[in-house]
Amino acid sequence: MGTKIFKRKISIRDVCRQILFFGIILSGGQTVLAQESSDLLDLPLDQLVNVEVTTASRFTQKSSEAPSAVDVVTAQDIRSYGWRTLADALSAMRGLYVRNDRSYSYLGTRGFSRAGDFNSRILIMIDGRRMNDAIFDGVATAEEFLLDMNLIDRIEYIPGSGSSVYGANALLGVINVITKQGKDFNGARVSGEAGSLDTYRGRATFGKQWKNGADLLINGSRFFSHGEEQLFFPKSSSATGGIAQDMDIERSSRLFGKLSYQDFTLRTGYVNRYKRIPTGPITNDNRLYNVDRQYYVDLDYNTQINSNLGMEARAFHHWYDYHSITPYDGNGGGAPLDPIVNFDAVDSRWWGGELKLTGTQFKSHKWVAGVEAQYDQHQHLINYDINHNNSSNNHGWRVGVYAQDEWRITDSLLINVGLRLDHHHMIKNLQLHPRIGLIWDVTPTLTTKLLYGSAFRAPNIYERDINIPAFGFVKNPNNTEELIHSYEAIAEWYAGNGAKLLGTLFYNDLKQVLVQNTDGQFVNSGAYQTYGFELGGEKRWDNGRHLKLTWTHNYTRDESLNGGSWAPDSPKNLVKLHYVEPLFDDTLRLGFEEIFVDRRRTLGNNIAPSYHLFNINLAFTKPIYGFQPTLGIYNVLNQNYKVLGGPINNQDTLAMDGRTVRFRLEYGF
Amino acid sequence: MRFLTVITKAMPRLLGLILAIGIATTPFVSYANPVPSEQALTVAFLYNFLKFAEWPAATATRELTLCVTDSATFGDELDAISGRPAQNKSVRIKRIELGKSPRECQLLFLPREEKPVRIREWLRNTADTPTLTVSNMDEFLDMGGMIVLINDDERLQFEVNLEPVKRVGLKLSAQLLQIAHEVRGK
Repeated sequence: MGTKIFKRKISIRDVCRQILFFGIILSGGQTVLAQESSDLLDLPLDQLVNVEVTTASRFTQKSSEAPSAVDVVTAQDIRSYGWRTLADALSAMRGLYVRNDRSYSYLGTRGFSRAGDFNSRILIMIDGRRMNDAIFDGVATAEEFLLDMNLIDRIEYIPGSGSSVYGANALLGVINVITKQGKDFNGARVSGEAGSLDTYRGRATFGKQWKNGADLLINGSRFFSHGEEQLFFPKSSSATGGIAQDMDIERSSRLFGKLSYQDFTLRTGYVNRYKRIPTGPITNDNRLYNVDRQYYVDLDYNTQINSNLGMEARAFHHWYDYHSITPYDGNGGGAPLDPIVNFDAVDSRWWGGELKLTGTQFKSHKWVAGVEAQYDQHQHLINYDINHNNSSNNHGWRVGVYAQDEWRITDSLLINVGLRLDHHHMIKNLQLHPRIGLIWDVTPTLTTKLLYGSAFRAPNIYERDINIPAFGFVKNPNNTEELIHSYEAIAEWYAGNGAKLLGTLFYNDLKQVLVQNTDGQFVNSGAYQTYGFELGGEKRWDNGRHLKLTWTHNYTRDESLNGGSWAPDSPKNLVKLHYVEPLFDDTLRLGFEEIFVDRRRTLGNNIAPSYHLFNINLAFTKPIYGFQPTLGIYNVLNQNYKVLGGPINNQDTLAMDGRTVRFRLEYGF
Repeated sequence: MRFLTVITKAMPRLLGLILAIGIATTPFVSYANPVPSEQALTVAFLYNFLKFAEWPAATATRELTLCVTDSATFGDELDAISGRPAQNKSVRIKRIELGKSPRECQLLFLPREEKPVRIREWLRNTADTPTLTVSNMDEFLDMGGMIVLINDDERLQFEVNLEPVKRVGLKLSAQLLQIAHEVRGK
């Protein structure tokens, strides 16, 4: 085991060295290049009209014309508020909430969260590439996510059903994480980070754009956190006293590279995360850990055939594997303790391609059409202990064809219609899902939208094939897709001076939701309805000040709970307040973040109390003598807040960390 | 077995070498005469319009202000002409929002990314001010705009509608009108 890890480290170092070499070669080329962007300004007008121009796309879509109430956070926000992981940034966005069970972070959307799933009802993309894996169909959002936060240019959250363009999993929304370019760094940077609970991170970044337009970005980081020394789980086995000592340890390593030249972009990412799990059946057995590893490479060719026709083609290859060692009590909590060690692992590989065309040939129309195919080559589940040996091996194709048209009927009225047909190897039926949006500019500053969409999610391999009776999991070859119909009305007012106000009304009808029955099988017996509204306001000042307030109110009804009742893990209110004050002529930015999550019903039918999380961050906007320090204080009020335990955690609620501090120093050269 | 180990060890280095050689020998054909982006060329046109327009003497200013509404796709390119001379004055770039008075703008550029309703609103707001309105939206002249930039997939051309130009007391040089692809309302 140890040697295996050692070997891998070596190979990463080798890859780094090669990439560096590759970078040096590239930089050698720059002397040859010369670009005349300023020469262009000296050309007389009669020559300007003869200059050949690159083809530019007429296909652009503003968020006010998108068939959704899009929420965006930027790199600047990430710096100002000191978000450490994607999960931190997502929990700051309208209508999203994050639950962490000290092994993974789970996303809730507008009052819907199924404790026990792995973010499979939301689609998460990096630069438009689907990141949901081929086993759990989910995406890790914290230290197990592929990107370091410094690489993120912006995050777009598109709530609502997105299957009409994106296919499976875009049930409750789509999150697109857009990465920066090498030119945004223009040099090398190293940063060191230290924080409470023995938390450290080291990071190195190199980014450069050459005169010929070639752009390279490379980033690597390592993270270690010891976490809470002792955690107490009152409900855990009396044989061990419920104390988990040194069981919150987490480590992760990441690599990311991006190279663009002309119409080509090559991206590749790798993450390896180790986490000890304190919430296991035997709390103090430090053999219990999870390792998640993910890798992808994505070659993207994005070109403009003429100003009215754009084409994007991409090819991708991903792999994801995980393994976990779980000691459990063969006596089920009775004396004496009988520890049995269970090994659980998955291994998956998938590849495929996409072709997308965008066009503006027809007056008042903007259309998109595409085809996407993914071959799930390897979907392997393994689980064994002394009593059982289960494994499953699956594979198959996913293919989708889609088209969308945005038709401007009049200057102020726009209709957006999309339709996608999907074949998915996990289900028998073809899936056809539409989205219709009517977008009306009541005045030049007030936009209203009416939206309807449906979406699906196929069962993942985990829900289909997992078979560990000892842990209460039994396979079900007969389960099928989940469906949602979503309806939404939106009003957006661009009030001027950087201010924007927004209101939404929404209704989601989720059917055939996969839930675990008492036998331990995932069956399509769940049904949930959510209705609610959102109000939000945001203003950005020219001097860097930022104010954003959002409130999501909703009620989610779980049809199968007591004949229809308030769903678990569904806070009725989420309120988020963000404020940045620039200090000393915007040399420093002081960011305040307050997140209120209302009380939630637990799986054990108790109440997890509401909580306020209050975070403060102080960041230098520019380096001083090359150094750029940042100080963040999280959970300033030291609230003992609790999130729901999932079905595998043994605990009804889990206490989260108290106040923590993080200091980061970045040096650029 | 040992041979296999050697091969596996050498693999990443070999791969890197192949990659590096590949990159080093890739012909970077386009250096000598790079094709400029539409944005860079548009900004060059805007700069020329500032040189060839004449504003009413009563509104003379020390600087020539170029206002832009949607800077998202134009940020860096515009900054390239900030502070440059035109008609013995220096060019100033100003981002402006709908609702703000365009009075201090000698030129207002409305990119096609702006919604039509908003472009119409801008044209209403500038109907009485000596502001030269320019856009790259195809129907701009029909909407009442002054100069439109048209990308025919090879070159950037411009067309002028003199009617609104004359109405607000602006003058465009004969040279500019001669180069224009089309001039309406002569």
